[in-house]
Amino acid sequence: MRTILLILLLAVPLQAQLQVLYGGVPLRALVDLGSAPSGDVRSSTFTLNNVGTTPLKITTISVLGTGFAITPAIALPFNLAAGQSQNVTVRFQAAAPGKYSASVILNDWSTLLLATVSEGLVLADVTSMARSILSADALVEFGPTPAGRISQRDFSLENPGSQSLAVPPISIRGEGFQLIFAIPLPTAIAAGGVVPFRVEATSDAAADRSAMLIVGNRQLVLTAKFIDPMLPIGRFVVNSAALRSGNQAAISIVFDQDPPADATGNLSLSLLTNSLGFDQAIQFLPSGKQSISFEVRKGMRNAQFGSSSSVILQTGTTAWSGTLSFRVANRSDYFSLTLAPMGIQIDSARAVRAPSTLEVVISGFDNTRTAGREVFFTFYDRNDVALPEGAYSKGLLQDQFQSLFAQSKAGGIFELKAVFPFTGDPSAISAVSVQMANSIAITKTDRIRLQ
Amino acid sequence: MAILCTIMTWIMAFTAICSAQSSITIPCLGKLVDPSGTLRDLCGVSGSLLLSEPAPEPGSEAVISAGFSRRAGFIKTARSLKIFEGTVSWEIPTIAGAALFAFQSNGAAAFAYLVESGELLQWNSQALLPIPFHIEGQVVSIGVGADNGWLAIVRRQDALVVVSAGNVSAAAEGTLLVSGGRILRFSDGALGLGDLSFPCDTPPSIVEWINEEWIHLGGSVLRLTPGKEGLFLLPEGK
Repeated sequence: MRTILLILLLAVPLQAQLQVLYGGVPLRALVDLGSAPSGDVRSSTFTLNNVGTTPLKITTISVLGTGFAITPAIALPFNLAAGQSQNVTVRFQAAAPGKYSASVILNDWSTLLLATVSEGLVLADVTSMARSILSADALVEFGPTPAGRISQRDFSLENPGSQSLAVPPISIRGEGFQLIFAIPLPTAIAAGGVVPFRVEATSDAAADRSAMLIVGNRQLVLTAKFIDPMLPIGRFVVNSAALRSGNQAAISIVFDQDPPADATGNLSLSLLTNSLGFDQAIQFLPSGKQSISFEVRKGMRNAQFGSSSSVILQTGTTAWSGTLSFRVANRSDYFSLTLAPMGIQIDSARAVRAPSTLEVVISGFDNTRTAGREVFFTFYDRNDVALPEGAYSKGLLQDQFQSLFAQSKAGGIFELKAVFPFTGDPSAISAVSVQMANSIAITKTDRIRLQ
Repeated sequence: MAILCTIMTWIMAFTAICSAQSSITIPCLGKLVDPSGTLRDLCGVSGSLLLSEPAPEPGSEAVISAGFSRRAGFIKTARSLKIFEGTVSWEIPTIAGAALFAFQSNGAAAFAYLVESGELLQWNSQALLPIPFHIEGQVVSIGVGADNGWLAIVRRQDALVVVSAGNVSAAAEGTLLVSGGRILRFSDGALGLGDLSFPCDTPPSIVEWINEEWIHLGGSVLRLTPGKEGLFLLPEGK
């Protein structure tokens, strides 16, 4: 009582520059926070106003009493500018029933806080050694957990009072959360008794999840953060024979075990040679780029590219070397590939007979882009006998090829059209074959029948 | 134009081949309609394809359907159907909707079928003229029969039939096109072409001719060239 009287005497401010308000009115010597169930939280906010014309130094903000604390803490000392204000919040929470008090000192102001805790069940988070009592509207955060794994927190419903108390309904609302009771939930908890239970959260993909834990009339918010999953080892599966110029090769990424959760990854192609500048056909399809995203799905060992378990790499028509690499969650891998230089590849060849011309059209690609060194045309008579001399070019087409390749961004593809003015009986010529060379090999077409 | 400076002459049959002229360019297979209704050039060779940048002409109408051979082409917009063959072109006003096209084996334009009106038009090298065509059911595709007359794949209730002037015969489920004696068919997650089969997740959204050897199937293209058949994904195909 002496203490209280002393505080009452000191409640009157000694200097007029600081004004303290509580509930919008000047602070009184006694503040009663009322009654709260065990474990519940009561908060009271005081407002410090500098009503003077000069800065005011705040040196003391303190609360002394079991269950009371200033939250959040305020670093001292600090200057409160003229006309400015500062809020101070005192939080009270206690488990054991009874009456509580604390003195609050704010520079030269002071007051006495009173609170009463009634009989009731205490809800506590007992996941770690640092047991914490939870208020009726507490926020409980589950730590970051890899998707596909279970995140859990342990709770206890405790009766710190002296008489048995009924157990309220306990439920949870929220996708991915579930209540686990180690023992059947009793109807009542005896004095000093404890009922433990657990909440588990899961997610099949990286995501922020939340739920409402309802214990009687308490509604606690649970949040769980799921980060990228821990995936099993994944590797490229590539048909090496398909990795050649002028092809669309299927590329797969396969995990050695079922992935525990979903994840999104990226596959990219990097070239060691600067082929992209002149071969824009080198790309993943259908993205049209040198990178493409993919999905890992829980339980599916093949990464998914849209609805397909593989992606198509269009290799283009130039020789190159490079690296395929993927990254997803905790996994990455790479695959080195080389598309070797090769002889000229003929894709189509046709020869058309017109009244006064023979037109030969050859399309294909030269992944060395050195074509034109030699181009020979050999004509055949109606008996399929090669005519004694061929119409040929000794390097004269090279300039035309090099001119095309110097300008083209389509790789080594080409269409050669040769038109031969013709006199005489057109049926005397039945076919033509073409021989072409690049820096690697000589390529000869089959006999192309004149149409 | 470079000149191949070789003159070759030989005695037999009084025949001479001389002074060939040559050109070397990027091979372009033809044109196709992209999902936005823009005609784009498809260039390249089997396994390495490129689409030209979309460059619709200002004020031009979106193309709904198109079909091409090396010597002819049809272009259908919401308001008209245009045909061109060599230096000849012909345009007629039509109702909106898609169209199906067929070409002769030599690439000459043959038939156009207007889906909304059910009209079949025949090209006679000078004009597009309607011809009698009273078909019960939904026309899936049209083609040219052995006698150079029309034929159509038609869905009637739950069955597909091949209809030509005076004849109706059953068609296997999934048949998309009959051309040059070969049947293009989708079934069981594969695209069948005669005895050949190509994995294909979904039925083609469209079937349009790029030229006599290539068909546009929406996200992919099919090469029909005997001995070089293949199904290839298109850049930006999906």
